[in-house]
Amino acid sequence: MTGEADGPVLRLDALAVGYRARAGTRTVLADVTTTLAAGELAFLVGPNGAGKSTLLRSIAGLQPALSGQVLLDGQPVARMPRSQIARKIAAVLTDRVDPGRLRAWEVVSLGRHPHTGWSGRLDDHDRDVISAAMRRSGAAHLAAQEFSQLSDGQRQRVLVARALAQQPGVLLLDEPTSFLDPPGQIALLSLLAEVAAVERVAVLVSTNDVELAARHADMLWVVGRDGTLTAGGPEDLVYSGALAGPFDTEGAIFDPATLSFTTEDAGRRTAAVHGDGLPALLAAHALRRAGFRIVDPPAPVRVTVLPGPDGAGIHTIISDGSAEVRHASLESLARHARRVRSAGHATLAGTGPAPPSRVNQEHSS
Amino acid sequence: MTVLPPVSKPAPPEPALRRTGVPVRFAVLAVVLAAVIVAGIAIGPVRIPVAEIVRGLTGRPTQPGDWAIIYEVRLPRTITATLCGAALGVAGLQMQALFRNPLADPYVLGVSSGASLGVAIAVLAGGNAAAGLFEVSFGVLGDLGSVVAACAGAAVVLAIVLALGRVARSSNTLLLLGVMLSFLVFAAIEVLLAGASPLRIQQYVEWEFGSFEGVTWPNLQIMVPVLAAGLLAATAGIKSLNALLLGERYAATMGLHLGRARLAIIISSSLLAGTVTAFAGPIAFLGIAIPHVARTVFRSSDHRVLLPACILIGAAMALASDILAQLPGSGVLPLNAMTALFGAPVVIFVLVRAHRQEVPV
Repeated sequence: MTGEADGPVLRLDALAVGYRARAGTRTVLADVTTTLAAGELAFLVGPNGAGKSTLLRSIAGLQPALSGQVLLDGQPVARMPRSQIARKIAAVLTDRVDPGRLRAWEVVSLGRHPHTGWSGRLDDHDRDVISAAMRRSGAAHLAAQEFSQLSDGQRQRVLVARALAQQPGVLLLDEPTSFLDPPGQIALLSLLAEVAAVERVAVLVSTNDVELAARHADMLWVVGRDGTLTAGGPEDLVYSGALAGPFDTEGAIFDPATLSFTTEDAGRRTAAVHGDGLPALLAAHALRRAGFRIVDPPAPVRVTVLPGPDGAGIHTIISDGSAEVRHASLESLARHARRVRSAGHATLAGTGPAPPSRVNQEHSS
Repeated sequence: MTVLPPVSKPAPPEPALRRTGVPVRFAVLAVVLAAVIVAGIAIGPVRIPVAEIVRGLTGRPTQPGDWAIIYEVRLPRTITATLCGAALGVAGLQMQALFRNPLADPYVLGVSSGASLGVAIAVLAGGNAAAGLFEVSFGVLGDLGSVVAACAGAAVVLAIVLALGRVARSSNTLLLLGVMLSFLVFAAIEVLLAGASPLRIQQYVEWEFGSFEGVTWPNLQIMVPVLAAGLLAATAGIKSLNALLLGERYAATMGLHLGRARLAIIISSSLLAGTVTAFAGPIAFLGIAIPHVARTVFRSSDHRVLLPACILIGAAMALASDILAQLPGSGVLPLNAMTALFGAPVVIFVLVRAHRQEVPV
């Protein structure tokens, strides 16, 4: 199959998801209408509890929709038998997987379930698909290891391979990066981007790491606190404010330039850094964490980065116009800057280096 | 949709995965089972030489007295023990997969008690209410109706545990639910038996100890086909058992119809556990222990290996327990004391290991 004009594989049509209980229906998300095409990597983002997992489960057919429908290749999922859904949608869930003594290869082979006969016997084609899925996921070298012995990152790769072994058109992943360290998160997301692009799978990933999502997504599905979903390209949603809106939190602001959240810094004292290259960037970083807002000169507090004697450390001079103090490390500069900040409008003059214990007290209070 | 294989080179065979030793281990198990079977026929109050057994079983002339003992006593006991052991092992394996709980088995979850209650009700409702309750039913049970009642009782308890287990998801809660249900069911049995004669109560206590003795050839004509049907049904469900290894929700995303799979497991494991209980009494620990022994011996969790392994290991362990219980000089010990001797250490081992791994269940 050549995937040239990729139409939508997945279509959500006025979908409402939530829970039916005796006490009444609780709608989590309503009127969700959007599509996902083959080869696209979409991220489902939103604050905790906004209904990301509920939406994923409803798309996977694990829980019935309250109204509206999920269409796969134009056919409503609600009317498909489970085995047919499983040949079109595969999932990596948040459920803890404890498959006893199964090896990674055997875990992946379970993905052939919807394709095999009553006994689950694998033929040569099944074995080829399993091995190819493991190679695609970078898990081929883990094949003979017991799943329970793998690290979290390796487990996620094996579980992605298991999902690929189902040969789905749509791949759903619920919070797949939660237990991974930052390099592991990036590695998994590039893997998913490659899977989407090369295997022409529509990949939908839920996460509450909106920064990571904005950087990797082809499409973003943003769940708001009001129970609606807005879909679009990450940059468009950043520009319109739709991305940052649901995450609006006191003390944190979304910086559209870096696509990341930073501390609210309006009203802080300002400082300017004179210097070039990495030393200047790091000096600015030290001042920021000490509670300053970095501005272009002139500013009441000035920090000049000196060329280090041998490149071993970054030497700086901090000055507020009335006094100048030289520091041989950025740690020492930042400690000084914190003291200046807490002293309010006090000048630098007369504030010599304080004993560490006192600094610690200030810092922890 | 996606076609994975063409994207990559032809898949090499996965050499590291070839489970060397699986056929070897099955062969060793088969030899062990054969040896235990011969021992089971040889050992008893009257000792029969192995040469005599081989002659008798291959249809050559033997001492008339020896053959009578072999045919009337030892063979039925051996067949009962091997089949019941295989059935309990497979039922335990199914329940451990269904509940995702390494300590599940027919006895712990109260399924065997449910089978006992079924038998008691069937006999009481069968007209001869109080008269000779245990002579007719427990132990020497030749009545298909009682087997049906036992299986129904087992299925009802299993369905209740499953329903309650879906509300209280913790694995320890599930085991406690099973224990509580057992108490309830045994209380019901005692109410049913109120007013029974001391003799019958004595017989009831003996039946509760469990025994493979006293099952006759006519009994076997019912027991063998029913257990064979249960084992076949379990074999047909191997694919679902493997899918359930990743948990119910993963199994559902792989196309497993959970409702149907659960029903199939309930039916086949109730057939197995109910029939065993009807003929041999509620037998403890074998159902838990056998699957763990199988997993340890084969270092696998693949049910395509574990299910036949449980049949072989279950048959051998049940028969070995029965032989130990009847060793000359030991008097006749309760079978359940012997199975506990095998099974309780296995359970303790599993508990300690689970705790050491700090598996948050």
